[in-house]
Amino acid sequence: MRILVVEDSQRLAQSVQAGLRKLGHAVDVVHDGDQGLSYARVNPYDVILLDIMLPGRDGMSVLRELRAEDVDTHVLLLTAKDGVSDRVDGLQSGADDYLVKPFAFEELAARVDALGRRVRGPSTPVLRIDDLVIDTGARSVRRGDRPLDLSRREYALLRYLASRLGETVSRIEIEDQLYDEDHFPNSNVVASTICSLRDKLELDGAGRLIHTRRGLGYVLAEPVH
Amino acid sequence: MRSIRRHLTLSLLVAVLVAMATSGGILHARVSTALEDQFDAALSARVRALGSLLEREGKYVEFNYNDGVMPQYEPGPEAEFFTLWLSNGVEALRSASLGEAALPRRSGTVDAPVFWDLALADGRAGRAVGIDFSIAATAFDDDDDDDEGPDDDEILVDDGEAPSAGTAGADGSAAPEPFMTIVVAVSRQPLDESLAALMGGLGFAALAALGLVLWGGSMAVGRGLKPIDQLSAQVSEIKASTLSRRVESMGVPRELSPFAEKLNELLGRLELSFDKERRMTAAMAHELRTPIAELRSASDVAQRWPDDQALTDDVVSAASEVALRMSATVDAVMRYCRIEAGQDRPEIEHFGLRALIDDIWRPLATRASDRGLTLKNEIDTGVFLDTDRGLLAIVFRNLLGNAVSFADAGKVRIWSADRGLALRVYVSNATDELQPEDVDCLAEPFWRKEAARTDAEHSGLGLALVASVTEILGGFTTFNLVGGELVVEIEIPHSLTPTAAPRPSRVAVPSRRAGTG
Repeated sequence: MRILVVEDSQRLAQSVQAGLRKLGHAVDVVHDGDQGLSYARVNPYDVILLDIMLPGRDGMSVLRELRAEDVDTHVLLLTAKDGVSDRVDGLQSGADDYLVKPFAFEELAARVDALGRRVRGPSTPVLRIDDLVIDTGARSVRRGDRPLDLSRREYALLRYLASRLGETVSRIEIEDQLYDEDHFPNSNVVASTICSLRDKLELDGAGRLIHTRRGLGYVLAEPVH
Repeated sequence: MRSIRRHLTLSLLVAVLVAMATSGGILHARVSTALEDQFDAALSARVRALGSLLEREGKYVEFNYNDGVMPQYEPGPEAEFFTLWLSNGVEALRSASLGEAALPRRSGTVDAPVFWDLALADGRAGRAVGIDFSIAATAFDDDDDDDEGPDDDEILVDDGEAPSAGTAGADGSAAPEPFMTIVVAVSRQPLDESLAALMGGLGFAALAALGLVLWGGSMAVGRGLKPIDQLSAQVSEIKASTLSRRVESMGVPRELSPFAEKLNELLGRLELSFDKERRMTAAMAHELRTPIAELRSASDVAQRWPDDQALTDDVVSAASEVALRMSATVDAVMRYCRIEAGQDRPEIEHFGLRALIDDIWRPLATRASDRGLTLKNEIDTGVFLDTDRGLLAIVFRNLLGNAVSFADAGKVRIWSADRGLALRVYVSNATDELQPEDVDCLAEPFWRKEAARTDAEHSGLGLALVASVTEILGGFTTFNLVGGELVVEIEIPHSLTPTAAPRPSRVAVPSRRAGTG
């Protein structure tokens, strides 16, 4: 998933970004409300982690602005305010979830995943394509009985393709989803990742699941027999 | 624990007991005396009755006693006793009831008989009276029988030597008038019974009165103290969470009205103080959440991927940085609390204010210059103060430090005006950040214009400290926003006497003006 973190604490933003990237997400970080609003308007984020108390425009103001502009990206509010009225205000302003600082990173990651599932469709954490099983909860992948050892980037790519099962996904879309502002790839990186992912999926002569639509992109679908 | 109810009841009881004992004692004495007088009068009547039986018959005195008429002098359980003596002390006659026993001879006159208590012949407690009865011969005495000797009921008064009444003695002086002494003794039992009944009655009355006082007094005291009980019940319902309540002062007795008013004033101050403490605690907890979140997030991520050295290094770095920030915050809070609690007492010294301001500005000058700020110190070199230099330095260090951090480029101006016993110092700087509504919050602990809490340099306690310290120095602080300029007004006495230095108020800083004024 592509995630935007709007958090004025550079150190907190840095560790959240590092952790989420380790989980295969593309994560952009900004430190004030105005920048956060600009980024959210321009980029197709799946989830925005938004601090409430921000320099310049505060988080609630950013959230209201986004909702007023019909930007329906899922927003998880991160804040030190733990009062019931603060939570209610946040949720009523259009937030999808609310997490009080300090928080466990595992909980943050689980909530981000839950919001991502809302974006991508199936609410169940296990996706099946033919004999391919992607367990998004455990972050594991197997083909038949054989577990696959995927890199973070490969897993993110497979999961993104699985979320758009049967659809042709362009290279640009893949780049937007898999790479944040700090790691913008060249054109060969996506093709290279597709290639290595195919090698792992098709080991032992298993049928091809990722098909190339020349000039259009890639599609994840059941093998053609 | 002392009890007003018990104290009042006991006091009332003691007072009533004393009053009753006094009045009872007086009553008892008066009634006893009256009863004894009455008894003595009856006794006196008895002896007089016997005296009236004496009749002079020449040399003899006839005693017309008839035991049939006066059976009380016969032996018996209720017997009375008498004895007659001649004036020479010779016993002449005694009642049959006496038997072999004797009565003591004591006597008074008819007008003033002598009474005394004694043990009767039969052992009973008795009372006796003695009177000397004159038996002088009169002109009408019939001496016809003188030579015939005394009859059975006649007593030889004088064996021929005693002169008759009115006869002078050989030396020319009047001879003593012959008399007979009669002593009558009777049982005291009726008198003692009456006295015992009187004592019993008084005792019963005292007990009854005591009971009534206990019951009635307790009721009266209880009724009198009811308003205190009601007040107490109202006060006991006031908890730390319900400090907005006030005790009902309507209908409170006049004596308790000042107490109720003062109590309500105290509750008002407590409410403000608690509210301030609550806000302070909430703000402090809020203040610490972000650094804790930073530390926790960094450590969680590092634990999740322990092989990633960069993440581990990040945790170590975060721990150090967060510890320093939290330590700075805690130090600032502790300093603020110490000053608020009045633990930092002023130490007075004589110093020039201009020099102090220059000293404070020196380390700030470079950063100020980077932000396009210069200091315009307009304080006259002749302005001297006798106050705590260290505490006053806290005030101006915070004011000037804030100006350097937050003011718009331009001048930070500082000047003073003499106000008689006090000096008013003004610090102004341009700002387009503050709004009029912000001015009320400036002295609030942890308030920042920017809600974000990641400003490691400023704890958010600076202006709160300014207000508190100025108050300790006997002055006050006022914040004003005038034409895009923040003007902080500090008024402090020229000379602070240690004893006059007020302890800081625990009441929340009022809006705009902070301090005791």
